[in-house]
Amino acid sequence: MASAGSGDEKAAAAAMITLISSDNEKFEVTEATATLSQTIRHMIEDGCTDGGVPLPNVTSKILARVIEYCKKHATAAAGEEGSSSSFSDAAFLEVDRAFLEELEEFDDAFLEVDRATLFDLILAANYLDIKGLLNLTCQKVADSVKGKTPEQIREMYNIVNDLTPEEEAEIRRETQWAFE
Amino acid sequence: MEEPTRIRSRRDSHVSALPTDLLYDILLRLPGQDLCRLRAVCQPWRSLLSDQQFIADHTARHPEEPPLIVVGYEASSQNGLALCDIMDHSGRVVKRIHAGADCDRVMCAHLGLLCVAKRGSSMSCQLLNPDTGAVHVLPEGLAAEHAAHRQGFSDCWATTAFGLVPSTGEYKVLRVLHSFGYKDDPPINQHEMFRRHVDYCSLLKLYEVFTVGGSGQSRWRGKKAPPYNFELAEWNSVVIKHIVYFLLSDYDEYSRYEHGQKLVASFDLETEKWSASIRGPLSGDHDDNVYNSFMGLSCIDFKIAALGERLVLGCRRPSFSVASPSMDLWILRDFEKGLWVKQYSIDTSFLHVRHLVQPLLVLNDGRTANRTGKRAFLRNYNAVANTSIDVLKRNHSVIAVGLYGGSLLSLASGTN
Repeated sequence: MASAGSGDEKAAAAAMITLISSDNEKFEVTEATATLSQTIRHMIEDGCTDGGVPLPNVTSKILARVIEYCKKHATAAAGEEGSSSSFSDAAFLEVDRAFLEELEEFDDAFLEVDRATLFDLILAANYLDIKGLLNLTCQKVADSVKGKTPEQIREMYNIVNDLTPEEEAEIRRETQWAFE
Repeated sequence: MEEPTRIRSRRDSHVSALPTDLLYDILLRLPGQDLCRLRAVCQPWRSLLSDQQFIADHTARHPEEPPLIVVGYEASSQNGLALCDIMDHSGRVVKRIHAGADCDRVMCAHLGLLCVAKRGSSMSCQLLNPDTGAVHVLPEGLAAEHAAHRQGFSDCWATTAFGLVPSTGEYKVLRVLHSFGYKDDPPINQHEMFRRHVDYCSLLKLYEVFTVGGSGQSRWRGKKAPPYNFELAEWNSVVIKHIVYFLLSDYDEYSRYEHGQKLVASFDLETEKWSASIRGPLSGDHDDNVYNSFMGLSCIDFKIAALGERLVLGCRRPSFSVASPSMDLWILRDFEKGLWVKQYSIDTSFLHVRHLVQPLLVLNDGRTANRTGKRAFLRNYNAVANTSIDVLKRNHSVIAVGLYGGSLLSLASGTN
């Protein structure tokens, strides 16, 4: 590839990517971390990451959280690859299981954010095409909606009720059982 | 690089900040019941949650949601209005369909359709889709092949079963026409008339098939009579895929059942051929002697049902032969070989009626929904925990019970 390997520290330089947030903050991450994002992976494949990757849709605050997520999960992915090639005994599976539990705890703690941040994370995960993060954050919103009344949801998410009283009454009549 | 799509304040948690495709993905994760309620949030959610594509995607994504049950009534005989109730597995009625001038009695229910008839006129029936309200009226009158019987069958009644033929995507209806043949051959006296009523097997019968949604010239087509006697009735037959299975009438529940007796046969709606009859289950376990314990023979009630895509025989021993009466569910593993395997045994001591429980469906975790007799109740039986809960207790005259093919969302999408 033309753009790669221009410096003298080839290996180290090629493995690092610079991400630039909408407020111009620069984040240096490993390629393994960055490529959890399909969007960035494609950019790397196209050789257009020299001079950093501008991410005009993502603020530094959100980008820092996204990178935190990717770092943790990139390590997990690397661990999985290693396990399939060298070990397969019970002791190793035990380690594996402990690691997965740790990852789950990380995810739970990661989602302890306010709703505005959660939405920003969803938008960033969607834009950067990070499947795991998008799934995690969307599920969090879905769980928060489960079992709630329409009134509660309107309040939680600042939704304006644009149904006429007649329309709302009709929906409630049609599916009365769902409100019991 | 794209332009920044939106600049928002940090406190903005308005859900409309999410693009529609993400909202779609989030809502798709929720159970049907939540979604029905969420239609009342706002106009955009109402449209999204009523969208046919959304409903199809939701159904595909949630195979774990238990199927709905449809219970069909004879409307004019009891509470006057209800034609059928569609309920979830806990017995909550999620939709009630009311009877109309053209339909007041459910003849049978299968997949997402009902076959309904006018009161007192089983010859004039139609297929009804409760989701959409769409109706397909079946023609009245006999098949051309049966023209010679027109007089003898001028006062006949019909029973029906229908199924979907996968190779053509068309529904086919099988009907059996019954007549005492009064007109041709008037009864000599009251005794003779009574004998004819009692001697059910001597009824005259005709067999006909109709293809729904076929070519414009669709008509009832006469079929040759099968080489056995059977009753095409809701409690006696079941449709699995494109096969109609039924219990043979040579066995009746008050007569003695002997091992290996011919018990079940079928009609293939695709090839329109009758199958050979097969034997009932042969009990190979220690219960075997129970089946034979009563004077060397025994009275066993049989009921036929579909559990998933398998044919099932519910066999219930009479309560006087064992301390705790139970019903065994035998699954048919191989029709050709007549291989039956006993899968569940359900405690039926809660039943104080002689009527046999008809197993309706078995979920993967061993729960079974049953119904019994016409004064129906449905009971969810948990075969694993050996417990049961009543789903429905009604004194209505229940005509048909079946699984409902549609989903909660499509039922409540306001199209009907």
